[in-house]
Amino acid sequence: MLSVLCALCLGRYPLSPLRVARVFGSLLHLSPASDPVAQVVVMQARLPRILAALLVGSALSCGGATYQAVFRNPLVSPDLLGVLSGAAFGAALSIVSGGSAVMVQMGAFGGGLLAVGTGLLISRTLPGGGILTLLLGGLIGNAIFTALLSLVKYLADPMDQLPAIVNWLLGSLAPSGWQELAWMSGPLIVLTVALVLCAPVLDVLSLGDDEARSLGVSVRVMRPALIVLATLACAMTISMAGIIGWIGLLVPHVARLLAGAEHRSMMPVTALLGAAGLVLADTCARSLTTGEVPLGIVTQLFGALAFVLVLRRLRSGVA
Amino acid sequence: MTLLSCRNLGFRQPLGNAPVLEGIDLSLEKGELVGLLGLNGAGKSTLLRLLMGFLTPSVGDVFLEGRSLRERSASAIARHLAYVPQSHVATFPYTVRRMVELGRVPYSGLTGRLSLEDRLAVDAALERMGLAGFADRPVTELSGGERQRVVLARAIAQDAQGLLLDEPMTGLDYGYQLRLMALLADLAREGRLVMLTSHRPEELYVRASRVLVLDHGRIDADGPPQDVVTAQRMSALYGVPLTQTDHAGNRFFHHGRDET
Repeated sequence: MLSVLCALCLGRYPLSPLRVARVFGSLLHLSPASDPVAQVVVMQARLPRILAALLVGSALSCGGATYQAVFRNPLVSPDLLGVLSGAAFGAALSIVSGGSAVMVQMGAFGGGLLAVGTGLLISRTLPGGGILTLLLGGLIGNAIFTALLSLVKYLADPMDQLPAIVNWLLGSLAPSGWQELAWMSGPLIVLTVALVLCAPVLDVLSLGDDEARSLGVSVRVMRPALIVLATLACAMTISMAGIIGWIGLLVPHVARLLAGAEHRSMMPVTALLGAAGLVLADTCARSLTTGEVPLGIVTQLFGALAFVLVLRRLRSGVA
Repeated sequence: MTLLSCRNLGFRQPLGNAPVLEGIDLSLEKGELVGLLGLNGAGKSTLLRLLMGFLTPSVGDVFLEGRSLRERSASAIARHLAYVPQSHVATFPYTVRRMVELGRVPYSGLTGRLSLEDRLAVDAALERMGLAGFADRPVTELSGGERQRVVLARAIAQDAQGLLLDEPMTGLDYGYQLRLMALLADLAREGRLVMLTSHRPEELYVRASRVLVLDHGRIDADGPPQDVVTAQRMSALYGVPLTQTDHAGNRFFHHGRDET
């Protein structure tokens, strides 16, 4: 709540909390509409962007927590199986082929899923069938799409398309408007809620294959299902906001410090923290300088620094 | 009454040439404490994992109360069989209580709340393993032996008629090894099937009601410990000369030939 309020007030055109409140008041016909400037800033520029940050932040964080539990590794982030490189390739391809903004988004979403799907398919052909084969499959898929991305970058027009690709890769919520929110919010909310509801399964899956199976959980069904859910969520956030690093890795750790390791209690906290964290990061991104720092840079920088603090607390045995 | 059985059971790795196990015929009864001896790589863990349904046999079938494991759901198997792995790797700092509560998942379902019965089972298991005072500690802070107790408490809370343990004594201090074997004997006496793999024939001689020897993927011996755990057989199995001394219900093995 606090971070949303800050985000509404701060920016290149600072507004007092009172003016923001008046805008909402006039919307609800509680007070006369007397402040058109504030109205435009809040309703057209800031609010959709804040809502997008809330959705993207919570989806990315829950996706990250899910990946960490499924792969039994707290240092895993949602791009483990190549969703990022795939999405980057898809988006870059759309940019090079002169697609519209919507095409770029579709490209990113499709590319992300394609990369993870490729990785999963490759892992199916490998003998074994545990976490390690999944990881190896993901690694190979990741490598393929990283190479393809490089190829697209190499072929892109260096004056015009290459900067567009680089800019997109840095991640930003700037293009988020009401129209985008309208068709992205539904699936994102459903996916995030589904991930939060699946939290108790994560406790069992994180014990390892044999132990999970001995407790009656079908690892063969549950693990791919959860990976697909988390990957869909991440691919949607990428298509909406580009590549936003560190949120998916860091937020689950902070949530575990606050709410304990049990996923049933930490998952809702993860969703809330991720939402608040990304709103704050986005507010920083658009207010720290007169221009706008790409959001991906802000989360990367602050995320890395915050991770040092989290790891220090973990190592000192607090969690 | 037979809990688990298998006929002509065989297993080979997907790309391996030599079978890991072949021609295994077994009938395991409730109330038995079965010890499984064998060299490293003889297929002991593979046999346990086949009996648990973690692996699908290449040949033959495993039957749980007469019905093939292939026809049973994972949760139905989990209500009959509990499993204690060789070592539990604690990735996330769950509390001891939460770990033991997971033993009730086969009953409560994954998202279901714990019933009163579930809570009582969890409390009883914590109490029995001497973990009541540890209940709120994170498992990541526990020693290997304490963690083993947590996993065992989870298996007890699971309230299964069969308990399969993969080398449960690895890494435990001597006192706890002895207490663990006494506990397993108690669990068997209460009517459960308890089966463990082990590298300690002397311990099995005292506690087990039946000992199996697995050699090169086949069952080499199967019978009461007095007949199976003998100096002659153990010498042949482990490839070291052994002599035995029986004393007050114990059998001790000494390295080297009997000079007398």
